[in-house]
Amino acid sequence: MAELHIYDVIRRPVITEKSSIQSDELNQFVFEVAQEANKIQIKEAVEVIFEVSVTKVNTMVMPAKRGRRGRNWYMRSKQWKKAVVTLNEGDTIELFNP
Amino acid sequence: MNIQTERLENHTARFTVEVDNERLEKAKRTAAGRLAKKVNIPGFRKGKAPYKVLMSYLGEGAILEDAVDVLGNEIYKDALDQSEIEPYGPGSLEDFKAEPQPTFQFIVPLQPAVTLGDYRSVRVPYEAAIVDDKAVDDAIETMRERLAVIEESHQPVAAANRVTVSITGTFLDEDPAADEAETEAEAADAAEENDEAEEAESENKVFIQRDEIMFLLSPDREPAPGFTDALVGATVDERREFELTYPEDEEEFQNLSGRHVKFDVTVKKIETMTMPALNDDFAARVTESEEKPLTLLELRIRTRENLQKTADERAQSEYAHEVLHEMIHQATVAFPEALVEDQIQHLLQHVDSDLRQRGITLDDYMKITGKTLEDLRNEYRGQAVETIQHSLVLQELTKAEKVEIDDARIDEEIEKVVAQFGEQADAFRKFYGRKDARENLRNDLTTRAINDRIAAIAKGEVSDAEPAPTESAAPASTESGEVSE
Repeated sequence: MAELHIYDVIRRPVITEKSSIQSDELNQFVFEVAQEANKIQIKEAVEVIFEVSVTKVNTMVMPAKRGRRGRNWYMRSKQWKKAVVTLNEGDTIELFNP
Repeated sequence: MNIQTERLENHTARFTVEVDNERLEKAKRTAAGRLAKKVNIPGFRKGKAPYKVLMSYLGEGAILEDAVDVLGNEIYKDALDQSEIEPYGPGSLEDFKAEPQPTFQFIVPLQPAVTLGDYRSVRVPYEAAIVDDKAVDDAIETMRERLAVIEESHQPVAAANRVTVSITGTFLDEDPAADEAETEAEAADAAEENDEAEEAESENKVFIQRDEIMFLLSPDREPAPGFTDALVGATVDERREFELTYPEDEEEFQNLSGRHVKFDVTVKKIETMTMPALNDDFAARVTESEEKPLTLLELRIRTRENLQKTADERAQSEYAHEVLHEMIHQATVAFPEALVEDQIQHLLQHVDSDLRQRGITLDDYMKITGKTLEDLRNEYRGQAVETIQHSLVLQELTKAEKVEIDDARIDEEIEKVVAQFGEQADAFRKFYGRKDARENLRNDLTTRAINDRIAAIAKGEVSDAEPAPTESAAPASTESGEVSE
């Protein structure tokens, strides 16, 4: 398997009510990442792209959500991987604070 | 907060208000909070998105606009309080600059200002109304007709008969004032039917067409001079055609004067009128509902008195009008454009309701006459300005002359009015017990009083030194109350 490029590791920032609380109060920033990326790759990608130092990475696989219309099941959202990246104190990512 | 006030020439003022940046920032945050409740941002519940997210989602412009609106109102109030300016109506935010310092500019229409000038020196000659014998005779004659015995007659038409006829009158000559008459006639026609071009042409020739109309065949009641003579001797169902020429320059016939016309008349009914003899019996019958019947002489005297009263009233109100006109000339009246606009709006509403009673709306009217709303507004502008000047000067005069109507005076007037209604008096008393009815009455009385007052000034009955005390206004108003009865 070819090496995952750092810009392929991070898909997008997740900006929601919960994530803004995390970034404001816990200095944690939330991303959607590639399913096959591991914590080490994520740490490296964030450090390189945003020029910050990462102290901790938590990952989780968010389950797909199914919906139903009558007899038919359909996918509301696909399964995806979420990474909560805790930064060194003093570091921040501007993307979340437009 | 830094407020500057300038007066502009068309009786408005401009506030320029500088605000601290923090205050604007605060306003923006509250505005964002308000907006957040309306928009749905994915990832956030309604109203829960932080300011920064909102800012990037809505754009700064939208938030700023809302903030300026709200902050503008607040600042406007403060600015008004501090500037001691009396606004006539709501001001408008004209300009807003965020850089280098948030600055608001408001344009405020000012309360109209009236300087009366030397109105006390206005003198206008007064012409008393004269009631001549003929007017009294006419009035008595009308009473006689009302009491006349009417019988259907099978004799041919004679003078002094009342006839019911169908009539068609046609012009035989060209209309000298064709242009003016035509446009008006056409406008009226067009209201009813659309293809007017040819219709109007032929209809213009016919100036009267009625299936049933009643005439009294006496020299001063007939529709055209010579009409009676032409009809005398006709029997029921007889048709007569004849030509007549209206005399020149008779005000009575207005646009018919000098025209050569043809009448086509069919007699439908002939009635004789037997007038009661002019004696005391007649007078007694006229006044039979009264306690003590009058003699003919007394009736004449009373008729003359009544006529004189009416004529006096009219002369006086015309005089007051004239005087007021002069006083307006003396005075300097300044008012903002907004007031004129309001007045025009008011007038147009009036016109609209008038037209509606005749079955068309203002929109229809505009279509028919081919005028735009703008045209109409311009047309009514002059009238609006005049009305404003009128009422402003009158108001100011009321203040200057200290004309005041107290409650006792209103009660007195109510009693006077109510007394006329006998049994229903209580209902009317109740009506006047209402506050707005009382206020209306007060306004009426004040207008009357001030009219009398300025009439007195213009007749030179008020000495210049007299300081216009309240007492002097009271008797004047009492007088007017009696006249108006």
